[in-house]
Amino acid sequence: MQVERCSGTIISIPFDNHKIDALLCGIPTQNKHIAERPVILRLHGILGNLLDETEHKLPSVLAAHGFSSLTMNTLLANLGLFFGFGIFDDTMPQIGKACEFLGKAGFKKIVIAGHGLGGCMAIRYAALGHDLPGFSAVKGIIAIATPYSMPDTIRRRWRRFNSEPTYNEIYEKAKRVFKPSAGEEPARDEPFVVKRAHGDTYLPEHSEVYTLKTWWSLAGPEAEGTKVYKHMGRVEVPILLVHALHDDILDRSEFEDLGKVAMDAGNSDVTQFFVEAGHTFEGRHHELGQITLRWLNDRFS
Amino acid sequence: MKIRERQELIRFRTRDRFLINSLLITAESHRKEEILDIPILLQIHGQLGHFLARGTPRLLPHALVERGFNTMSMNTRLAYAGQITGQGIFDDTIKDIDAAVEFLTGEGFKNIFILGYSLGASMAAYWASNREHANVKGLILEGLLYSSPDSKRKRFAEWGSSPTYEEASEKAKAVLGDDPYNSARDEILIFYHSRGPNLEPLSDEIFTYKTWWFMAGPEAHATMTYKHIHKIDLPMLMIRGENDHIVEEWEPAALAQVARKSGNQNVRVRQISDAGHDCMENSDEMLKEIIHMLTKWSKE
Repeated sequence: MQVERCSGTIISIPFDNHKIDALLCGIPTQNKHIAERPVILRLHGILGNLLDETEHKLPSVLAAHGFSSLTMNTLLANLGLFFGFGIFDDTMPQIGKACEFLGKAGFKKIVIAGHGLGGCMAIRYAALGHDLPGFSAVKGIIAIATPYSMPDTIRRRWRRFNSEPTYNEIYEKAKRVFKPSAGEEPARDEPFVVKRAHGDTYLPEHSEVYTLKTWWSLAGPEAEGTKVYKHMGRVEVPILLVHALHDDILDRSEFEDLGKVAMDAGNSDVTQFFVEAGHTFEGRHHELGQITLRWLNDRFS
Repeated sequence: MKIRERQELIRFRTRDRFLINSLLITAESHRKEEILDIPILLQIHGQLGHFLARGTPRLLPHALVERGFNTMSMNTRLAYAGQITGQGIFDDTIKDIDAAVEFLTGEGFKNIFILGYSLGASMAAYWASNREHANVKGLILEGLLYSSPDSKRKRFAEWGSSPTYEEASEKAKAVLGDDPYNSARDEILIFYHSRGPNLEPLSDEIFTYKTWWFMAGPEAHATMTYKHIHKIDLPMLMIRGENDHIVEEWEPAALAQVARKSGNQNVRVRQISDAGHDCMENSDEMLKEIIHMLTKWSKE
């Protein structure tokens, strides 16, 4: 039997009435190390969690090269999108709390890294900057396979596969929750399934599930938080953007435009890399790890 | 020198290549051989659960390790959204438990006990009715339903679910055809108002036709525990919180009666006072029962 013993310790960070679960890897023992080397705060992608198979080896790779990491679950982890509590904007204070925790643990520098939706969260948090707790230690952002605009990406994909229901049908239904007509009670939040959302069959793997509220904040036309291009220009720390050349969800032009927004806004440290891979970087995690390490070493060694 | 309490995140694959995540926590001891002799509790989560889910899955391992026992909590293919993505076929969880037992045996643990919480109790009972393993010494079944399909049907009717149980059964047959397990077709379905009267999404349930068919459909024999509990020879402890609103008081007693009738006299049924479906709401009483079980049936 093939067994993998993963490094790291599962911890819980108290937050409001619940706890943020996280995986802490590569705990350093020297104060000098903690002060000088950044810790990498990793954010999961859509429906992901701290045990995700995608990139789960990255914490070990980072630890082997002297970088600690904390992989956290947000409200959008696991079932958040399906049962109404995974509201995109509500993840920001959670990320702040994790940064605060790392600060209290002694880390002076934090780099936030995310894949897909995780990249959206990282950039949104960095753009909100000083409005949120724990931000002053954030010294860099790594956004992997991150869309230019999550709502546009999802709308385009649903249209491509002739989703049932359509994007506009869901928008009309969600408006009854958020913008009821005069004299009308707001409708209840409820889950819904979109068939043929990212493939041309009715199979579960080609379907998506949200509630009207979670969809509104993540994918609806008025979901400001996930329109990454609107926030990119306000990120003042170094940014690493990585794109998978064979990504069937994101276009290369989105990635290029996102970098341009950052540079046009005056960010002098924007790095962009392509990798010959699909959206999940399957089979190319070593290369992705090396790109990440090089970028970190160039700035923080 | 003492070996300190240790936490390890372990991954291994089942024989059909499903990746299992698990959290192994070993108690403080004086030498490695001693650790392996100490009883270890293999813990299985409930519906939509995982090993960090609140209540028993989250609280029990540390409480037991503090008292000198080892634990391993595993995520089966029904963890998280397995019943929604389609990979969580109940009958296949037998392979997940097989792999976990194989891992623990390979490590050298000699006194393995399996604790299932809620749906996890159905998984543990199903596994034990189909498997025997010399190193597995007993079962602890917390919040075990007499029959998951009957319970679902009753609850759907009580809350006025949409679709109804019968409508979903008919549609599932139409979608999955004569061989549901091997059917190439499947779709996600949502039951509105199936879990409660309020208007929040948590009153709704989401499955695929296939995962629903094997967990709760009218022919979901694997979760009709009363049909196979007579095949279990292991000592069993069945616990139910006295305020449990999901499992009725008669259910563990009736299951115990079936087991005893078939010759298994080592079946103990306990009500945990001041507890609901999650018996860790009264942790002192629950731990007392569990520790009694682990101590009594461990090999010296």
